[in-house]
Amino acid sequence: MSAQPSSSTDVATPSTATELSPQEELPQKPERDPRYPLSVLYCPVCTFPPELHEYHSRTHFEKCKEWLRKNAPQHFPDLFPDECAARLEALRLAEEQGVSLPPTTSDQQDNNQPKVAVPIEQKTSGGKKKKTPAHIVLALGQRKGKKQVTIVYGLDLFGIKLKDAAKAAKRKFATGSSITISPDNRDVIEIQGSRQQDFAQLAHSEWGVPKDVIFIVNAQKKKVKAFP
Amino acid sequence: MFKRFSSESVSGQSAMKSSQQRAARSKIIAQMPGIEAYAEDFFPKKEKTIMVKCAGHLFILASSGGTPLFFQTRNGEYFPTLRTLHKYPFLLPSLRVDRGAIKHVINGADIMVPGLRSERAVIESEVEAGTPVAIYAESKEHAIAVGIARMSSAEMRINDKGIAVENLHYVSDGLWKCSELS
Repeated sequence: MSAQPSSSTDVATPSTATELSPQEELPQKPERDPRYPLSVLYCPVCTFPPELHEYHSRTHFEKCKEWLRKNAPQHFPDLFPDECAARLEALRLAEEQGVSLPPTTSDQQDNNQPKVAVPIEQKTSGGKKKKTPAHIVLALGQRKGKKQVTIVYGLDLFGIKLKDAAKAAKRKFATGSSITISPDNRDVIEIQGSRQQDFAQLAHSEWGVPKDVIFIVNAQKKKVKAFP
Repeated sequence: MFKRFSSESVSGQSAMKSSQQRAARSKIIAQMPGIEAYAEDFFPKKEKTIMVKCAGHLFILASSGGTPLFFQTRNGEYFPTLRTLHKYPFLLPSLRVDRGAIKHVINGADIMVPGLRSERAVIESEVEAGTPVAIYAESKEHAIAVGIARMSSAEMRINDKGIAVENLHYVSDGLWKCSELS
């Protein structure tokens, strides 16, 4: 990108730049205001700041309601009168003492809970829920000679980023591992060597994929559970 | 501008060269003088800023983690993204629209003069035509859109119809939803 042609900014910026240049000998560090950056609360369900929720559609709002009740009742005095009053009181106290409000309790609870990967509901363009079974299938493929590769199907259905998963496998097993496209046009991970059981363990421990949705294709080409 | 934006609109991304980064940094500081003290937050010395190129001559500056910070079309002005603006609300001059306008603005509508001239709306800072502005809303704390002024604030007071600010980026649009570009 080239430097800004000065003609296009007649917004008082060039003038300030020229005024500053003679003072360069004594550089003045502009003061930082410790208040910034502000931390802004966003709804984890729909990403909106709480105060804008009233402009959502009704169905949308219902989904966010519980979170709002816990975290930002002060914006909805009509809906949650009790929580609103309590929250405002807490805010006022915090201001008097000159401390910022501690992070809400519910966030901490969330952190303590074990991570659980939940299958993502896929929607077709028609808006109907498509039923792809959210399974992780570990198959073996042959490479040149006796070499084997493990092919992992279905990780994307659990919202796990394939890139990260491939990296994790590389680290864990110290083998090559990459994202490829299977013949039926799905994004899959290919890991060198026979790593079916190992990867099943990894998927369960690393991303919290439930044990009963992980399957292994065995020597008889049958899909069996990885954790019987 | 970002209505149909998604991670698929990205055509390429690369770490910026340090000279590019310096140029962008000085341009952003020249454009938004208030940012100077915080420039380190956006352009940390240790990490490279990422330049994300998108369809339609659109460039997005993102932090090394992939969070979009600023956007720019062709070689024009830099606009902070809304999430950046929420953290540093002093970056842009602000205009406050009345309640009735909110739902249209967060659907992507341009800001019309009547929405700024009503009794409950405030023209909080004087702006020239063609400059970036932040759109706030009556009784709301955070900015709801970022746009480019189509007329100066003086004209906004005189006219009684027409587009005052072109809406470029608003809450719930594609860029807002891409809180991280991988």
